[in-house]
Amino acid sequence: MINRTSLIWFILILITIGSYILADISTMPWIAAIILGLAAIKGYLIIDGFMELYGYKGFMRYAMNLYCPILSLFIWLLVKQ
Amino acid sequence: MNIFPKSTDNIAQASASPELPGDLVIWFLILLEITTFALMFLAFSWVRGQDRELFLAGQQVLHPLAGLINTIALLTASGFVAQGVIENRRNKQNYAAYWLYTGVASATVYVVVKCWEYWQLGLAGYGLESNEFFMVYFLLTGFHLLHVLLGISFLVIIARKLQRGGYGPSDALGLESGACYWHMVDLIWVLLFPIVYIIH
Repeated sequence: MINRTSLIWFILILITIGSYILADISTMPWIAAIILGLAAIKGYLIIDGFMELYGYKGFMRYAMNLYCPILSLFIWLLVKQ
Repeated sequence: MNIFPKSTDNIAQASASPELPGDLVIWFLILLEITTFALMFLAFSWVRGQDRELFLAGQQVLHPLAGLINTIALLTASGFVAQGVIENRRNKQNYAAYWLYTGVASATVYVVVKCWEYWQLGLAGYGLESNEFFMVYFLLTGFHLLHVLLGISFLVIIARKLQRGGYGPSDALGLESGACYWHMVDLIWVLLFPIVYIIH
């Protein structure tokens, strides 16, 4: 059985390599959107998994978990122009 | 693929606590830091939008593979540090220190590769004053590198304290705070890597 730390690490590495390969496929704006979306998922895994905010119900977890998706969205809006 | 020991089965279960890990002060520092980086990312993206061709040309000079290696190095360091926190919770302080030192070793790979990148760009004649792209590139990655160096220093100090028995399962505030700071450094790079290196 794979422990959770290994699993989180493995998924993070897979997403990273996937993003890297995806970037070579095309320069279309939707590719940038997918790559930024994947970065937001990685952020969620780091925050809830490695930072151990999983299970915590306070403001800090919500603020941290909103950080990557909102920032990714704004970056994409600026980059796609 | 299981680089972390099975004895520490579930990071969430081992730590599933309604408490915020680490000190509240470190969390406000983390919020401050990630907000600063968010503004820098937005500025980078905005400046890129003003001169897309210049930025695409600048990206061609960078080494995306070095960025990929650095991402893997930081993510691996974060995994090792997370494991260290769990081992301390299991009252295995020497193991915890070992995981932290392993994290430092992995983070050192990042520093070496980043310095190599700077050296290569310097040899090719690129610097802060070359153009707008390289100015924001060096400022952004240099500011992040400073945070990595600070994070490594924290990890070494915490690991040494662990070896002296300075932390325990019920006394891990400093360890958890340092670990969270390190994960923040990793979190920032997770966004920096696609913005600077791979989104064209």
